[in-house]
Amino acid sequence: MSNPRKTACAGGSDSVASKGTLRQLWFHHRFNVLVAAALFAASHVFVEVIGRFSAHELGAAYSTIVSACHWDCGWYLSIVDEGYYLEPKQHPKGDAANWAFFPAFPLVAKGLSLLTASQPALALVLTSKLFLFLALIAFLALVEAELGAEYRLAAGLTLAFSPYVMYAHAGYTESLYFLATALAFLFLKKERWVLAGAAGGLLSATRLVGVLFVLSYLVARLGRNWRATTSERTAFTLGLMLAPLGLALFMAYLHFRVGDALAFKHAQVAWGRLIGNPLEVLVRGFDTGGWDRYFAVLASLGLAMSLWHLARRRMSYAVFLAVVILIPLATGIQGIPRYLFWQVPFLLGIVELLGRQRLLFSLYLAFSAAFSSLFIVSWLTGRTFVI
Amino acid sequence: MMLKAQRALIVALAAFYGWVLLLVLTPNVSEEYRAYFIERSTKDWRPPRYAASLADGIDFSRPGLPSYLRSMSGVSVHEAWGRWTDARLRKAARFVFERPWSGDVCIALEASSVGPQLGKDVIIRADGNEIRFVAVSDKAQWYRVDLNLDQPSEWIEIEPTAPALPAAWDPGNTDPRSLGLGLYQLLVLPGHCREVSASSGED
Repeated sequence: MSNPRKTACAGGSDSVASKGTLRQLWFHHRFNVLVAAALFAASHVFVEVIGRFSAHELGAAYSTIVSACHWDCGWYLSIVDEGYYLEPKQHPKGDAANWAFFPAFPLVAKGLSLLTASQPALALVLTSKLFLFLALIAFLALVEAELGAEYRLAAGLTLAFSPYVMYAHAGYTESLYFLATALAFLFLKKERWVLAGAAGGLLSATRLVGVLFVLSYLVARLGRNWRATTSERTAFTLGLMLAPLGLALFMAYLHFRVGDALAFKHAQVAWGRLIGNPLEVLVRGFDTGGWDRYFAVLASLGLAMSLWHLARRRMSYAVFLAVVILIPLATGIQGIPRYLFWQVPFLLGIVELLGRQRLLFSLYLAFSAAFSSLFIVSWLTGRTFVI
Repeated sequence: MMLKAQRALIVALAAFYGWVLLLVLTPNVSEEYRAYFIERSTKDWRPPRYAASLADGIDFSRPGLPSYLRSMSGVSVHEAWGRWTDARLRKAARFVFERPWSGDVCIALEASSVGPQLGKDVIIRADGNEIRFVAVSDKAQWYRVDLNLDQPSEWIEIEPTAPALPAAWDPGNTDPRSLGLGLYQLLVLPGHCREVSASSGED
């Protein structure tokens, strides 16, 4: 029989210890949290001001933050509203279904909607904003671990005023994707294998390419010359097994909902997406001109950044960035900029290259915010090149 | 203790992934879902249905399918004149009927051939039975073949043996389809063709 007094004491000291841990966590991360809060508020005000300006001067339909919920936000809305379809029913042919959209983001939005009794569209937009705040904290911590504390402010500014920051204010999954990627790489850096795998699991439930973090995870091990103990090996294996869990759960769910575990992939037929050679798609983008050339330039910059990480012997980032560019590129070039500017390794590279050169970084930030303004206006006035 | 729990979790996850793999390999979907979403052997998703009798046949110049046909695959999109077979979708164009065929069946096909397919064999197949004819014209022409089905068959396939990309005879053409026959009409009727043609008058 255990001594109840001892048990009570132990419980009390646990509580004190956890309070102490929390205090330590806050003490260690308070700069990151405060900077993230300030930058998040600035990013929100930035989008809001441009939204109001677009409505007032350019006739954009922007009255509240919910007005930004366009395009794919509508698909997430369908998931929050009615769950995953039993049958495809959208598009003129009736062959489009919401199975192509991964569940982590709409699931959280659904929870927020139920918790706050808010409209699903509002919950989606608030969820994406909330994840921007958390993504800022995680990115600051990652940059601190990888490059040093002096790069943190540059990192926060790079994310909060990214050219495609609109996605974090429009009920899209991008900010959650960024958060999960930053956490996964942060834990990988710290060799917290199980936590890295768990973050990878969240990543694979957020977007299909998230499952490719498994490659980075394996590469991280290859890059280390360590004699692992049994417990380290077990933790590493468990982390590896956790990384694809989100995707596997979604597949099992789709099998019982639709009858097809790969429905998320097969649904792409409604968007006319066929797999091709990504390099051919890239070359065709340059040849076609117009926006396709711009997309091709950015895809090339992304691949160059992957090589930069390779040169810096950051294999995990190099591999991840290369595959998350090449795989979407295999199905088409549209959408590449937003994929790219929501990739942790790409933004990390920008921060490393420009973060300590005040003039260059100021110029980058000015252009980034300017492009962001243009893309916000374009988004709110229905220009499809931003999607 | 922690190590044991982690190992148990690894085993559980491995078993779960094995089960998910099994689910991937055994989709539980309708024939039309499989053809459209998984095999991508048809361009038609739940096409409109029009009322027609077997004697009316399949009129490929009409959008949709006759009521007695369950599904069609290996055939490209509807055009005003008819439809192309597209070997990229499926090697043989496949027609699945609501009711099975057996015994003597007459197949009458109005079709044209194109490119390398001109003058080459076309195979007509139904559950183990097959017969060939030569597509001789690049203009619409009727071809009639008799099949004797020992076993009931719900489907009939038409396979052009020399389909090709249009670029093969028209350099610079970027049409990605692999074309063989242009389909205008298809009649599948019970009995021998000589008996059927006396009463149908399809030509």
